[in-house]
Amino acid sequence: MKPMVFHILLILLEGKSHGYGIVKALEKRLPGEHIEPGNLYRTLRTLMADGVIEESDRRPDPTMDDQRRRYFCITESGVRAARDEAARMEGVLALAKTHKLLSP
Amino acid sequence: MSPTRPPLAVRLYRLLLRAYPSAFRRAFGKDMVQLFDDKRRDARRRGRRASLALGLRTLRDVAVHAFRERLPASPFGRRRLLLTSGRVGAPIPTAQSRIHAMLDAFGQDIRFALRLLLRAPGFAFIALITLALGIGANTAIFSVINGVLFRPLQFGEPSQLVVITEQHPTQPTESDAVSTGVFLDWRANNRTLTDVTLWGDNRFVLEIDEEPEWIDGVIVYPNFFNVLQLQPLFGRPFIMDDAVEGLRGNVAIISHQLWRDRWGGDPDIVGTVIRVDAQPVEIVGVMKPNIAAPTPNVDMWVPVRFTAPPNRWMRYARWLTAVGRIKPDVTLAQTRDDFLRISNELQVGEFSDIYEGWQAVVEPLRERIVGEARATLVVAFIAAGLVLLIACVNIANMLLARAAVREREIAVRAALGAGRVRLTRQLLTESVILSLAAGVVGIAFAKLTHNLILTFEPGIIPRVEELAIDGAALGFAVLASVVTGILFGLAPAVHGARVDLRATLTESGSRSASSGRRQNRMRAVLVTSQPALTTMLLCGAGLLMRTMVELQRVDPGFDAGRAVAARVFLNDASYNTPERVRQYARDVWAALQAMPGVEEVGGTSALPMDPMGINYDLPYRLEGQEYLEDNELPQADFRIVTPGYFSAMGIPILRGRALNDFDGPDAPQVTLVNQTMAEQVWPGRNPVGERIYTPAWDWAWFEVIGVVSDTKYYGLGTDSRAEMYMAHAQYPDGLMTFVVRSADGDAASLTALARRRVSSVDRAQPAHSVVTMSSLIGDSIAVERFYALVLVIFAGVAFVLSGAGVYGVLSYWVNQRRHEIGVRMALGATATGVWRLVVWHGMTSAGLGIGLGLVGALGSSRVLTNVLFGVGTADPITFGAVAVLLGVTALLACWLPARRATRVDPIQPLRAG
Repeated sequence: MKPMVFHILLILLEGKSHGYGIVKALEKRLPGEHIEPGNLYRTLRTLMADGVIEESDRRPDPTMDDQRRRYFCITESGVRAARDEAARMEGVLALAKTHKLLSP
Repeated sequence: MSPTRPPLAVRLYRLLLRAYPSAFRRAFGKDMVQLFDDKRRDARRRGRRASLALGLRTLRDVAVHAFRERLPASPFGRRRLLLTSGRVGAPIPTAQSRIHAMLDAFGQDIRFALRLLLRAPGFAFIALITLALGIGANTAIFSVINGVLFRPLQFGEPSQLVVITEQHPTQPTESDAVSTGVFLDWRANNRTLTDVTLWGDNRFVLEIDEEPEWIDGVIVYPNFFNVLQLQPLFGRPFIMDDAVEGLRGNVAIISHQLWRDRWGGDPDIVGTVIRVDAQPVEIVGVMKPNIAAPTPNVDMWVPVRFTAPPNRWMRYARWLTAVGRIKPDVTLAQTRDDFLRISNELQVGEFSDIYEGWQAVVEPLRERIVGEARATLVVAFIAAGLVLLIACVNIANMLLARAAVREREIAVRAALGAGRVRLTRQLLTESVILSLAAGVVGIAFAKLTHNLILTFEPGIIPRVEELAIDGAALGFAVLASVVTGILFGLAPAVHGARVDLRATLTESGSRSASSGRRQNRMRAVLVTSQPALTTMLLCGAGLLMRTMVELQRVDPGFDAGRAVAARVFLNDASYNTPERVRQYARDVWAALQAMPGVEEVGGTSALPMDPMGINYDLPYRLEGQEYLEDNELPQADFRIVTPGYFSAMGIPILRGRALNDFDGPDAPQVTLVNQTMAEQVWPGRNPVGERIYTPAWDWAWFEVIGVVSDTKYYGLGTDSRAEMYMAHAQYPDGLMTFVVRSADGDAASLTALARRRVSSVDRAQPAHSVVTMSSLIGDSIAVERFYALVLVIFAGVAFVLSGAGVYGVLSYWVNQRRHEIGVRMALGATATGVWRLVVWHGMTSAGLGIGLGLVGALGSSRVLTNVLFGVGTADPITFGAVAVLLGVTALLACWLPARRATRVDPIQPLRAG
């Protein structure tokens, strides 16, 4: 799973969010990375098609302007996918520790 | 009430979104615009650079993702974003067949376009070269701009680095120098910097195999590498103990290049003791390759040795550069406040007489490095952009003419069922293919231009050593190609696709009134815009050429044609007494004077227009001014010269006498002043016999023995400042430039011999450099010359392109109107009348263009304000000359088609019609 995808799932695990919110959170978590609209929405489109996230509703963000925004949230199968990925990463980390790459 | 119009950037982004397939756009277009708008607002808060970066990233985002979105689905199914395959959703079916059909059509367009272009090789070649010139010039300039303005500095966390300098309201300093005293105060008292370091230019005599040679280097405060976050390739950075006299031996870090060139990359170099300035020095480290810290030509870093605590002189002499690193959570504004506070404290502290009025100024290091170059690069980029625009207009013209010729072909294709969109796309594909091909040629051309710029740039482009035509520049070339392809192809394409089927296919189409009028209007716009753009470029080039002429007309105050200058920096270790320095100067003088063909030899501590000159202000006191405090005293530049200096330089003595051999160490102290100082201090009086005193050195009174003519010390375009000349025999100085005046005028032939003669006096003290005075003057106006060169080249290209453009359009116009002209002549119009008709038609558009161009030039030439000399930004002579030149050219360009028009045989078109 691409780090960006995994991070999107993690961000949505904290609650539903709109495109701008996801980008802000992503750019904070992946320093030096810039996420532009095409990149983001193509990824979100694919994630929706895969059924790991879904559109929740359209409503204005109370902390921003009065424009209505499309919100996204994570699905059951998205939570499962994130959990599987985390488990996989844990396995990799354990392996790295046995090779003394990390202190246990 | 209509909703408020969205900002331009958002409207542009909406336009860009059209690159995505419409289904995707329908699903996400609105959200993407919203997101872009949010990001745009964020970027705007962070400043112009952030906005520009966002713009570039967005372009890339659209290019990459719109393209991928349009790619046909792979036969193996959509690439999945998730690794956990099978667990989540199956691949979505895509409209494969549709995309494949589109790609087929696209391939067809390309094949067809290539075939057409190959069938008109002349047109293709000219269009290709024209565009390649434009794209190449822009890519080259872009590569420089990208490298200089946008690439991060080589140091760790470069945005935290600041340069700290000092300003005084009444004493404008030429450089950004600070004194060691104030540096130590800053280092001890600031609260906002992690640390602050110091460096100063220096040069060393390196002795390898008994062969002494000058190398450039810097002396640095030992924390230099820590503050910049630079690690040596191997060995160690300096430690604070390195700066303490007597604690450790002398140490140095050498550059990668010196290590490779002089020691063949010897891996055991660390610990080697070498001889530098006749002293043993241990090499403790080798720097990484291609590091410009602070400049690329540095071959050796040596830690400074301060006597602590700093004495008065160390607080007085401003000649070093201070760079600090701001703490991570501190802003630039907070740092500025902090240093304001320190300055205020220093001004009332123990050394208030020295610090009075001096304010610390904190600036980002990048600003300092890039600062001056920005204006130059912007001017060059504007010029290159204008050339590309003119090239585009030219090709658009040619395509329009071709589109008219192809009206029939297009009409046939339309009749056979090609839709308008398909036709437009076909025509656009042609122009984009043309421009992409031009882009490839342009990249080669860019490489050439790039090398030319690097060869001729006079040292005003910082970080030149890092510049290259890299991925970003290539990306720019491709982008520029596509954009220009669309730009010059759009008008003809939209136009060509809008054919009137019936009229065209029923023969008389090429003369159909409606399409003709539309085309002519478009061509009129093109004919007007070319002279307008060219006028702007020519005005800029003209102003710079006048600047060059005016600069070269300036009398530098000395006779440069017949003199060479040899610079000598004596090392303090061997020349540690005044008598030794005096003796060295006498010996060099004798050695040089004995050369054949030499008329006169003199020495000075600082030569006019010499960037290596040591120069600082000296406060002075007149007789009877004892009531003035030290810090209220007026200041003058001072030089230390030998008796022969004035005649060797050809500087006339206006009053009194020159120095002579009797003005020795035991004789009364004497000085000469320049004309400016004489007029400032003793207006209307003869200063000879007056006495002055300088408190900075604890010396006796000086008697003014003469007045010399002014020299343009700071450059041809500058005003002379007050200057005093002291006798070298009375104040021997180890930094000397010897001026050798040739008897027969051939200065260049003296350089090699002069170098040998200087070395013959002391083999350990080779001349640092020997140059002719005229090359020094040439170098002093290198910036202006570089500007002029860039603009003259670009303006020349633009001039040729637009002349050809006007001619082409008018020829086409005449061709198109053969029928009408024939009818007119058959009805009795005279040749003169026809001639007048054509010329009038061409000249109204061109004249309007020139007029608009002059107005544009009035605004745009203001960017040149800082480079111009002796001429205003709205110089009527330059503007008038440009208008006349372009007017005459346009007239010539109209003349030939007009003459052809008068030769139209009235019968032939009538018969054909």
